[in-house]
Amino acid sequence: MSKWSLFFLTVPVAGVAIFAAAEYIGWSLPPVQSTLGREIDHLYYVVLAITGVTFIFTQLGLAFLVSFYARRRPAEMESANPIATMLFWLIVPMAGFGLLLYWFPMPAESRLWMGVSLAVGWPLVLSLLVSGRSARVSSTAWHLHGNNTLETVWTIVPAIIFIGLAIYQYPTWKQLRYPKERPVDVQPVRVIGRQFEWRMVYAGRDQKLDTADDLVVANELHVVKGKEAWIDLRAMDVLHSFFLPLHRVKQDAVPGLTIPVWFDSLESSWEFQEKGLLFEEEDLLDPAGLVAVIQSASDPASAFLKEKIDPGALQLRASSKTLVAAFNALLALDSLEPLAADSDEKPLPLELRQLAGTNPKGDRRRLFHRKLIDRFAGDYLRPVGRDFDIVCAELCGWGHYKMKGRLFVHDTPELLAEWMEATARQQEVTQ
Amino acid sequence: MTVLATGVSSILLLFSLGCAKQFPSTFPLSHYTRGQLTGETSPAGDRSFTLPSPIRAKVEETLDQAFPAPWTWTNQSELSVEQKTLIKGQQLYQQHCVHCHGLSGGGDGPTAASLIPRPRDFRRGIFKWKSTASRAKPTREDLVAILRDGAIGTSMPPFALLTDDKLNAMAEYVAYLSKRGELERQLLVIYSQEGSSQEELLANGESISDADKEDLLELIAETALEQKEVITESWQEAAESIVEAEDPASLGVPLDITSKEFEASVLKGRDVYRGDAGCKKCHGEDGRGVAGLNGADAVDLWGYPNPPRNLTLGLWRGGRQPIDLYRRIHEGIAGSSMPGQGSNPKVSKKDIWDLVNFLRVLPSRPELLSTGENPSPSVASTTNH
Ligand SMILES: [Cu+2]
Repeated sequence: MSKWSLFFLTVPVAGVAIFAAAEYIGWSLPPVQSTLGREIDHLYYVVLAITGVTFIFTQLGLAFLVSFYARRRPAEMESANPIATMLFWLIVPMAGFGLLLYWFPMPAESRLWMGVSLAVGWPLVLSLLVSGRSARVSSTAWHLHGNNTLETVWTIVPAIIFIGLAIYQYPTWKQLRYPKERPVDVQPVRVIGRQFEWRMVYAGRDQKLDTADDLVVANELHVVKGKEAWIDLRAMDVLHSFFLPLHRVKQDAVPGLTIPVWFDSLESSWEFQEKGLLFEEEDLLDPAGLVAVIQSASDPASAFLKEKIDPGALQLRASSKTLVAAFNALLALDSLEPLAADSDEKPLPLELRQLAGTNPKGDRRRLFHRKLIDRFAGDYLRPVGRDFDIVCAELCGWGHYKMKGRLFVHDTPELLAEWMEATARQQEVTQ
Repeated sequence: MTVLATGVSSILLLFSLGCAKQFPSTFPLSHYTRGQLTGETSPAGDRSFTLPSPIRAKVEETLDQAFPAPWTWTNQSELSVEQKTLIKGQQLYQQHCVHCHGLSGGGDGPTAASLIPRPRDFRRGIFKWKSTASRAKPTREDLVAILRDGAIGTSMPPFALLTDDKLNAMAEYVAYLSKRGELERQLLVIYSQEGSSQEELLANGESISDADKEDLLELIAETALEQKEVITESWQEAAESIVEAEDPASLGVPLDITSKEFEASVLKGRDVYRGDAGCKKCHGEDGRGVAGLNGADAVDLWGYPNPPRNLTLGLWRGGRQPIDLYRRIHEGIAGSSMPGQGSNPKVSKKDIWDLVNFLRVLPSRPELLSTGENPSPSVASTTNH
């Protein structure tokens, strides 16, 4: 077994390991929030599957071939048949086992884990099997002529896959880029990017843009759940990129151009916020009772919760720091804020202060079930809205509060109209 | 190998130095030139001067007593509510504002030099975008409003996503920096006026007699006590100086653009623009701002270019509510050449409201000011103004 083949082997093994871990370290896609987003995600996974499988097999093949030739004398080279050997030992067993996995009924979770074990395990087993054979390093170089048939094959196969993908994705692309007519009852919102903000311009009471009663709102886009929202995207200074991560919308904003963008929303902001406060991960979810994420069993929070809240309704679970960090990332850092921690008038009970406390770096340490918030709501704690982000995916993404805005999805058109009316009144202040 | 090791360790050392946040034990004293302090120019030209060290020490000490740096307050249990707010405000300021507005609010952060217009220098105690009279301080609500909505047409972004208590803490800290800066300036002015004659000062910044010195130290201490009161009061009284506007409806000016009389009001506003208010002198026949006298070469109080706004862009830095425009016209803009029409006897309150309506529609109907010739290309590009 050559050292170099082990080196090459780490690449596919690490690739598979990262893929398996992505879900848990926050590298996978966030939950999707639009119809078209679902299709886009599907396309993403199709492409990921094709490229992922190809990548793993080519990397395994590379490791295998390095090992294969390292063990042969020049004289044996001509007669050796690496492809047959590779097919026999590597590809056929893995493909066969993979198919078995695919057909055999089992929970998706087990399928994933067995697949990961297969992709990592079998190459390792193989390398163990052959590692006993010592390498005989040849000192003379020798010439191997290329294989025209192989080269033709590995050019044509990807070409066919590419064309196949192009045809397969076309319906989605068409919906995204060449959409049907804008519905008559939908008023577009003009979204203007400038360093460093998103400026939204709504038609005012006269239903027309570019009149004196336009509503201009910084960094807040308001739409209605389940209804198409239309945007005329512009830029005032430089290139920006209008990005709604959860809606899978990303469109460059170009000075001098007005670019139409549309999307819909599957969930309203309220539904989304409610969900964000209930943990979705299986081991943390207990719909019947309260769940607190704490760092360890000796955490003062456990004692406090046990004492304050009916222990029968409470589940305490120790959880690793990584998980807490992942949840904090999922819910946005400021998901909870002590309402009056800084004020002398309404001091927090010490225990609650510890619960809601931040560590010296300012990270939120714990998250609470909605019911716990409701219990202390107003008095001591308040949930800070968890919102759909609007960000700039261009360079300014890292500057100035990440050029961040918020998308607010109303439950009904009436609620949106109410907000527009309130904004209009606010913008007509004369006193 | 040694070369590599030395290289790597020196890079690491650089990183460790760069990452360390070292706050000075107090706010650093600002550098002003004589001209900036006194407004006078001397034949020898404007230049910065060195404070004699006892004077410098006295000024620093006095300022530190009056407005200590919140990051030095470490004893949590002894802090007042106001102090806690200032600490919070200082931390937020450090995160969001300091890179443009500078550590002590001089508008001199590291990115300031690359911005047009320059970030506001709070140390004058003069603010442009406010609801109060031209000479008055802004209210806390004014500061929060500009933090929340930003100032479009400048590099000031909106911080709309920060919670109200965070915005309030930031506004509180900005006011604190402004008060400190104003006091600092006044103490330095004392020296530049009383310290010694201008020529002496320019010849030798250190020359000052002992008797003079004692007098000066006393004067600085006295003035500081007195002026701190005055400055603090001026901030407290801001709310009393809010410019109230008469209800336009009672003056017969409709703000609703669908109303029948609206167009008449717009045209009346145009007459005021062209006539009695004298707007066109600086903002131009076409509303795009003129170069020349009082024009594009104008500088503001801080010495930076401050050309008349291109009114056809609709980028109202101080807010776009009708009342914002009203106040801007009524009071003018502090620190700039924009005069207030409130003191112009030829312009009535009703005229101002008509002017407001005219300005509201001008960006979408620039032809209202068309001069008959080809519309001149915009003086100001959309990026800077
Ligand atoms: Cu951008």
